[in-house]
Amino acid sequence: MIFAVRRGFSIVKVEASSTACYLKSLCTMKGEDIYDSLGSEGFPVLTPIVAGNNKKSSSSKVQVTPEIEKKYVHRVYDAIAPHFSSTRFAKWPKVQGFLNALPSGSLILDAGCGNGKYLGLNPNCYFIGCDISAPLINICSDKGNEVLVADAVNLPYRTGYGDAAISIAVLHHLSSESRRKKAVEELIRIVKKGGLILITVWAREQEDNSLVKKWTPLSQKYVEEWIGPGSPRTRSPSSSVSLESISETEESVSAEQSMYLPKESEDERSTDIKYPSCSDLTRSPAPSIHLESISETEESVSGEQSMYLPKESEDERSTDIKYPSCSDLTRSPSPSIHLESISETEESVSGEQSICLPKEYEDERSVEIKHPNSSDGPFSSDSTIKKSSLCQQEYFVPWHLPYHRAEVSGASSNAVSNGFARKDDKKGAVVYDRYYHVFSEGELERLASNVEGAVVVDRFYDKSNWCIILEKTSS
Amino acid sequence: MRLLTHNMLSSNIKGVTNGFPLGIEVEKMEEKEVEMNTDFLRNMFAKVEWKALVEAAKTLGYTELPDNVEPSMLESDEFMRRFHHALLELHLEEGVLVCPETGRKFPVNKGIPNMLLHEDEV
Repeated sequence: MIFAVRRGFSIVKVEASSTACYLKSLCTMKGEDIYDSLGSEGFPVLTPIVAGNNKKSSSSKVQVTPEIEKKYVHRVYDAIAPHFSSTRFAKWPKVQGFLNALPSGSLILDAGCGNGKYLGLNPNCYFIGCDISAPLINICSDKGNEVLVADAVNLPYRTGYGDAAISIAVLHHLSSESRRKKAVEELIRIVKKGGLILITVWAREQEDNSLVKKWTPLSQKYVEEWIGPGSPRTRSPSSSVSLESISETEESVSAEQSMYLPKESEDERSTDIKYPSCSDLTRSPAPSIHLESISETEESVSGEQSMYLPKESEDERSTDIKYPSCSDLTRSPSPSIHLESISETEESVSGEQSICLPKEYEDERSVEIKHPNSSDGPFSSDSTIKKSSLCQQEYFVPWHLPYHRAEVSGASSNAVSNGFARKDDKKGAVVYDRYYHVFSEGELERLASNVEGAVVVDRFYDKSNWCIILEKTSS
Repeated sequence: MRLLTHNMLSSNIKGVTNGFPLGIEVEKMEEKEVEMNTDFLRNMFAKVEWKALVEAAKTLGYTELPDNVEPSMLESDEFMRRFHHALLELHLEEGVLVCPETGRKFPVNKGIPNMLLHEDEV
């Protein structure tokens, strides 16, 4: 299948199997006031969503929740809480091992506990969990856990009270390095001297790369606005991405769509697929996200990640997959990465992973893209972006909330009419996007090493997550 | 919310120097039995701010805790039972936690405190 982009861009012809998601539109980034005007090609000129009225993220308080997190983390989890919780039952052995190794009688604090999967896992210890999502906390509480609603970036806990803390798949929802660092500081603060902290986050370097296709990468322009100076990404622009977004048109959308649908559903596509066109977006005040994702839903989660891999990609996998432009993984003290099995990862249960594509994809994909929109930065109409480095770290990852689940809360019909979520009639689901900053190799360790008062005692890669264990050294 | 949690919570509003302990206003409390873990109680004995625990227990209607404690009391079954009861079996189901410096009220509903701050409090 050939992917062709509309005029105004270089024509890009790439093999469908390798192109993946990199040409996704950023029309997804809609928010209030986000569209300044239509560019000369008729594409909307996008402005980023920023917290409050501050343009520079560095000047806003680190503990104030940025808009992107309110819209694409908090609101989403609140809407999907029961469904999300029903898919979160498999206990990750590494976390279980950490908890079971703690001394009997320990007080363990889970910051960002979600549906409380790990609360009470060690019956000899006592757990207190907190999460920013009240609906998720209600679910935890119904199971008899001791929980509260709180913000991981500003924990309402006395210093040094806990014996241990865990942060499982939380930090990747924080949209700036300073917030991520603050969350690590809080984890260290709340435990006693000698206390251990386990942190896990989604890795940029994914075990299953075919799943990237379902994700929407955020554009460089947004990255600069949200992340600001000092981010590992903005410090090394040559190595970081920029995937950029070609504003979506009917043509490009349908062409991209054809890449993502599994063979059997290609015939199901019709010419009246409803993708909000760019002009539609200017009418709608709220974000809408194009690019229908693939047919897998988060319902079919539960350890069945293998079903998401088409047979052909299984054959492509080898034990020595090279992750391009990511630092050399063999230097890492962590175990080598091999794809022996497609076991469920902490968060990838819905097949929502994969960012850096293996080398073979990269070679096929050096394309140049010209963008007609925006007047500054790398996206000015005269500039070109070489897509040789594909290591994007900012993503929207879809969550499919089945219609029968969506009706229960009622929030979803509002979400759809406001453009905050979209409907996928073929899958019978309301689709929400969740914001992720996935971590590159070494990034978590660097982040933690820059925080005083604790040392790294272990680091490892497990099931597409970077993991770290800290020990508090200060009192 | 158990008193174990209350003993750990502190108001983190901007400008507050000492947000502990939070005041308690009770609308509804419950007692729920739970199994005793002496390892945990011994561990918590060293951490707990005793005065705050005694006051909080009184607010929830339990007055059997001694005002002063010392480690030798850990050998007493009776003391351990009372400590366990106050720490883990008394629940604030509905009510409010109050910041000692600003008076700001944090709601507690269905036993769950909501400690989220507004943007201007951060």
